Amino acid sequence: MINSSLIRLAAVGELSLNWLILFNLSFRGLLFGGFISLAACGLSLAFQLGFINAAHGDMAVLSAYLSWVLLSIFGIDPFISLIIVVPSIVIIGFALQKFLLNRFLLRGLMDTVIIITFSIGMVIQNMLQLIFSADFKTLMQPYIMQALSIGFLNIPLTYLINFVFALVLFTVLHFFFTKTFAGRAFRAVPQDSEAAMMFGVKPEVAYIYGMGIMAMTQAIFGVLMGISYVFAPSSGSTYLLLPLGAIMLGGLGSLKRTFIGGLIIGEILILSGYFFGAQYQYIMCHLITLILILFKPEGLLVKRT
Amino acid sequence: MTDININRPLLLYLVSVTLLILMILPLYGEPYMISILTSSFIYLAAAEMWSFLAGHLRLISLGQQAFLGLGMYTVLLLNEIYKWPLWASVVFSALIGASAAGLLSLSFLRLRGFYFSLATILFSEILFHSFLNWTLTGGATGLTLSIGFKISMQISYYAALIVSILSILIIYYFHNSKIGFAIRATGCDEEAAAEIGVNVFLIKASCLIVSGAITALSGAIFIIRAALVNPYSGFSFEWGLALVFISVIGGIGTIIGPIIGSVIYVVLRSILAGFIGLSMLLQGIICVVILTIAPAGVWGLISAAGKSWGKIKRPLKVLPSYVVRKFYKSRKISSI
Amino acid sequence: MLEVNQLNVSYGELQVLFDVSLMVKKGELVALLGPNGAGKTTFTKAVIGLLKPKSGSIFFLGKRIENLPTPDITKMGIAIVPEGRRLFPLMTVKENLLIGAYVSKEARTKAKDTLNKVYTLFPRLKERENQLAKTLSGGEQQMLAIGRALMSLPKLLILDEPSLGLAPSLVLTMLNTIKKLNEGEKLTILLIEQNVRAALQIADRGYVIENGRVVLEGEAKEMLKEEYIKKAYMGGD
Repeated sequence: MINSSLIRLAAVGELSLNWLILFNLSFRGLLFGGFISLAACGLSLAFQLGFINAAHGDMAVLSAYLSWVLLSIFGIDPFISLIIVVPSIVIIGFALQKFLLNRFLLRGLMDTVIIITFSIGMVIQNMLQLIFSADFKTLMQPYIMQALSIGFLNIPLTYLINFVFALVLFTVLHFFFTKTFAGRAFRAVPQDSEAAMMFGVKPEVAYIYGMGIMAMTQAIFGVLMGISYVFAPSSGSTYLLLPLGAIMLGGLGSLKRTFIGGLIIGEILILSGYFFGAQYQYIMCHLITLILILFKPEGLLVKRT
Repeated sequence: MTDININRPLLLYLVSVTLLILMILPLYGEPYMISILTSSFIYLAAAEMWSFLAGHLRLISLGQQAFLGLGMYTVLLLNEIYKWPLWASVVFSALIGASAAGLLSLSFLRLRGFYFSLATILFSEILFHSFLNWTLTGGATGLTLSIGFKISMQISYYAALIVSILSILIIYYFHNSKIGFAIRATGCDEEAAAEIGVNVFLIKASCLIVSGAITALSGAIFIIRAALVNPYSGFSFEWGLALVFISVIGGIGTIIGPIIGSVIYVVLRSILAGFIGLSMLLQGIICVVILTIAPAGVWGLISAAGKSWGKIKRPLKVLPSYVVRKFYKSRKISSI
Repeated sequence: MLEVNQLNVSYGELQVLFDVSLMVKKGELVALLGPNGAGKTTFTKAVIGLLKPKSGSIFFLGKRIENLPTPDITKMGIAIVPEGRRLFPLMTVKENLLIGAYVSKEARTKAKDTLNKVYTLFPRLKERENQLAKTLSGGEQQMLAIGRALMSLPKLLILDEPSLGLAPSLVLTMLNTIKKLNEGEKLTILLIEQNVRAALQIADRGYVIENGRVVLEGEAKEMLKEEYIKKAYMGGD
């Protein structure tokens, strides 16, 4: 995932501990991290609300492919394709939750939901592979491939755009969950679903809309990811595990925490790519996530109660 | 207390006859049939374990392929690179699988439900990436187990048969011993089980370790003929999905279920030979369909149909309650 | 307003309520009394829709509600202060109150005003506005639970054992508040209590339920004098 400009930068400093490079990388790490938080926020929501989706990453990949189809066949610019892709994926998510997953969730059959969403993830991955082949594709457009130079910072445009999207979405969601009636109703469901029902909240509806929000964030993340990098059908598991890392780092319980966790894991990804080489990026992230799960499952930044 | 409540002598008779047939098959059967059976035994062994964990302990491991891959790579490393004798490598792979599972128990068992499953995926992916970058084992292209070409079909058949029988025996033991009671109690309600003195952690860990060992062993046996070992075959989700599919379509938590399931799976695979993607696609769809309309799997349907065959010990809480009411004879659902 | 006819409720095979009939007229404060395990909470659950009865009917404002889902029932104007309060522990006092208003559009639009009214009634809640519900004391939690129910602008308020776990002095204050709500706001109230004397002192009418059956009903003042009550629940004469 390190793009060529980074490698050029690294070559300039002959891979020695060049502070300029490090600073640039750290900044990119933050930007990238914010972007990863976007993928994490849907997952964090799922955890908080008590519904789950093992096909989380695959939804993002599906969105990317959908955008790719629109690009290849109709020539629609990826950013514009969001208008079509996001509602489509949200509708799919709604339908999935309403007609399939809610049947089991509402009866407390979490295990079945885990297996089913896993199967769905596999279906999506293999369906995409059959249709599009296992090769990597990208949605990158020429006009995007520039970098901004601010002082001694060299930042690819994509990083900035992604970060802005993520920030905006996080702010909107944060506002939604804290300041609106519907958002509060959402939060009430996992705390005491019967009591929530006593005040007019229907858990089944909460789950459906929760899945809808998750689908929305994943769709946006997926398309943006496709624009900035490359993707293949198998990318799904990465976009499940990286957000998991973000959540583990930041701690469950609030969107703010997830965002910070994302920032951290973004840093880890970028910096470990620099220090250990691109192929070890994911191992480092997964390893750290694993260690966190081992020793501090409630999240790094959370005080142990 | 097994799946079928027919009388013991009849059961023993049937089992012995089946075993006898299976044992003399390699001498008379055609190679195609033998290789299919060999594969199904291997999947069966691993699936029995997965099915048990998922059905009775609600530990749904979506990263079982980690153990399979570990088994494969252990044999590769020890036999090919360090020139250990084959049998020793295979046995050692079981130990590696057990230790890995032990490590997993120490860390993942505190995780509830979904976290546990995600953590198993994490584990599998880490191993995948690690082996991908390990030049000693051939990195992405992998290495070939040269001894594999000298292993006859018969040997791998019997090895696979032994492992699957071992697996079934262990599961049978889990069902019918004092441990079985503790396991069911744990699966039902951990707090209640802890209150009556069950060491919940030990139970879960033991089951995980055993399943790790057997699954790794299956992986080891798999490659003693298949020969090429690379991260894509060893740690791919293809395995993971296969185990889920076999257990779901056969009947999660039952003993007979995975037997039926593995046969179906191998047949499906051979029909769609070469179209792995399509096969996985169908598996996923079938899993979802089965869980929605017939969660007890094929075996569940069969057993329900033959009422005179007694009760099914149905897997705990993986099935919706209406299935329980339909299939479980006794009214007292709370006694499960 | 609320009419329960011949209600039979079971938990699986175990029947808990037998032919229970009860009525609450508009503006009344009715007490449902009885010892532990008599079936009072089962009754509440059935009224609010968390349990479906085997037979019998429940009418609210003329409509049959016994088979409706809970959110639909509360939307019609029934609010409940559940046994054990059932607050949302990780939400603040203010948020808990605001959830109460989620029930209907009307409640949501008037939420701000209702909130002020609740704060006037329970000034302590205003002080702890931004504290998490789980950090409150028992008495404060009870106030919050009542406040939350009031936020839904109910036509019928059901209180399930509000005195449970409260210090006696607090019980008195709370019951007075409930009486005030009934007399001042003209709020119809169904009060379910174990504390028989206190409940009958503020109620208009009462029902006594034992082992799932209604054994006594009548005007509260009469019941206070009733020998049976005195002996069973108030330790003799």
